[in-house]
Amino acid sequence: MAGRSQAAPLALAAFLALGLAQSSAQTLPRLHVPSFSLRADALHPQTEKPFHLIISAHFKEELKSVDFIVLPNLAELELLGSERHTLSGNAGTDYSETLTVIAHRSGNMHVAPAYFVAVDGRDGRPKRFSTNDLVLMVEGGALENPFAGVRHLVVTIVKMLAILVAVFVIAAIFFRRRARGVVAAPQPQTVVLPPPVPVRSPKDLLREQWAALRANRSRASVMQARKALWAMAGASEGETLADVLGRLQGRSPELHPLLRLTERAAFVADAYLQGAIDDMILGLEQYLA
Amino acid sequence: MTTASTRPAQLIAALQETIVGQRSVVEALVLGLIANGHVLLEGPPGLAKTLACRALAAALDGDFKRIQFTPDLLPSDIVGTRIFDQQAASFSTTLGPIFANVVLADEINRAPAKVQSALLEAMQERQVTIGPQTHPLPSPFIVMATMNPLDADGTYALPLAQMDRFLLKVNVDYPNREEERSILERFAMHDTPFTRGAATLSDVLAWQQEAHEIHLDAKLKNYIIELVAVTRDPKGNGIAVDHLIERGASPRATLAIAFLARAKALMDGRTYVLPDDVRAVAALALRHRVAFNYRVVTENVNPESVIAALIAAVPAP
Repeated sequence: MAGRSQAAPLALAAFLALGLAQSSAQTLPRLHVPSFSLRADALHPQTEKPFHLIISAHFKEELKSVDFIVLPNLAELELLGSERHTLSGNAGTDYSETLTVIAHRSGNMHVAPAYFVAVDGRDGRPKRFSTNDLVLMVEGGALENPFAGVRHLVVTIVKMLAILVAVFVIAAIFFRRRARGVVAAPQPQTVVLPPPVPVRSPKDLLREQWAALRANRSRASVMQARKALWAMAGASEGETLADVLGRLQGRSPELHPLLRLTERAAFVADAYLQGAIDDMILGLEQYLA
Repeated sequence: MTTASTRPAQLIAALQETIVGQRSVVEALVLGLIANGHVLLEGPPGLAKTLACRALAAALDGDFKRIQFTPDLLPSDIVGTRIFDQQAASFSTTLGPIFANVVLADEINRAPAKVQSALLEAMQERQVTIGPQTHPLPSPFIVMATMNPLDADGTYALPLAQMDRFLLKVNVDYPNREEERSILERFAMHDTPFTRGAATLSDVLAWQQEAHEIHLDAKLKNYIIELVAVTRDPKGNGIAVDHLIERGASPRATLAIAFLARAKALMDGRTYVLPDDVRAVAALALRHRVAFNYRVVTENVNPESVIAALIAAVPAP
């Protein structure tokens, strides 16, 4: 009995200590995530010139803090600093994190998506939410191009000459008209619009992948087409067929058999790959028609 | 290769004629059968765990034996013993209840460690040595062990190394209201109806052989490896559950996921595994192989949600 009476305060103390530890418990948050994206403020940044990667997210829930997002793997970019803004209220929580980075070499650079794991508020299942990834084309700066200084000087001189010529022409026209005493009626200005940039729809992208698959009947082409199909269904990489079908929730029924054919071509044994690709191409043709 | 005359789906349909609801339990039993592994069932009493095992044995027309584990059970009560025949002046061997196609080890955690070891050794070796003779166990041979998580007093918890011997672990949950109504209507007035002969033992052996031929793509092999790796280093994969996990899953989990994914593909009538198959079976193979520490209790964390989070953290190919 004496042992028991001594054990009771110890157990209470242990319970209180564990209670404190409980406050640091990290369980998965249940979230509705309407948007989660990654972008850069310069798609063609220059070497040794800082630029920014911006991660934005909106949660329907009012969150005190957003510290569960795993920042993207910056690979060859150097992180100079980061700044996080979180604004929460009745309308939910807006999260924005700006990473200031710098590239030390030119060429294509891939920035992996930022992500986090949470229970999806829509279906109550734990999921990995990911942003898009980024491919940046880093251009060589002055350090990489020995003629950059000369080129800059030439460009400046040409610009100054152009300005001088323009001033001279305007002055000449002004004095000539003044001499004639004729005031010309204002002429409507012709605005030359830049040629419209063709916007490629997901279906256009899928059509491209279909053509690529016809030209190159390989597993890699199948996976590229699968990626385009996943994007059409609003799914990101890392999701399974069941996720994609769940995301569609009965919408686009014409897409369902095509998704299944694609899945088969993606994972069937090599011996059956060509037959699976035949079926997939046919399915794509029917869908795109 | 032998071709089975029936498909696993027919066996599942036959089992569902006896067992109301519990579709995931029935599927898990058939997965274990196809993957040639043993099944651990955990759930409160009265949830048709025993019924499911008996229904499976009946549907296969195989031998079924039930061993109720108790604290006074001896290894010889399971594997058999040698008895001296005074008239013949020689020893004769009496084989134990483990010599059956479907063996139900009821409340396995109620027997002491030496009895558990005897069973688990037989499960692993698929043979039993009694005296000088070695007796092979029948084929197919599947042990379904049940554990009751509620009455933990006077039990001998299975060590992780022994849990690892089970290919999969199924958590049996309560039925919903509609299922409970069906149970009432089906069983209240009649004896339990068992569907017999939905498949044969040779069908099961053929399925096991077919499952080995199911194609598992290299991308899926990597996916399986990542799924197991995340249990050992959750933080490296962005999941803050390190403080809850004592030890990650063993390489046996990697093999188990692969076996079960192939079995799932076969069950769904495919000759290739999909990422969905791997994800569907991952929890079955991982939940009893990841060792959690005391914090899951003190922080009131459901280990199932941790396993689900770990699986969700790994992007599928």
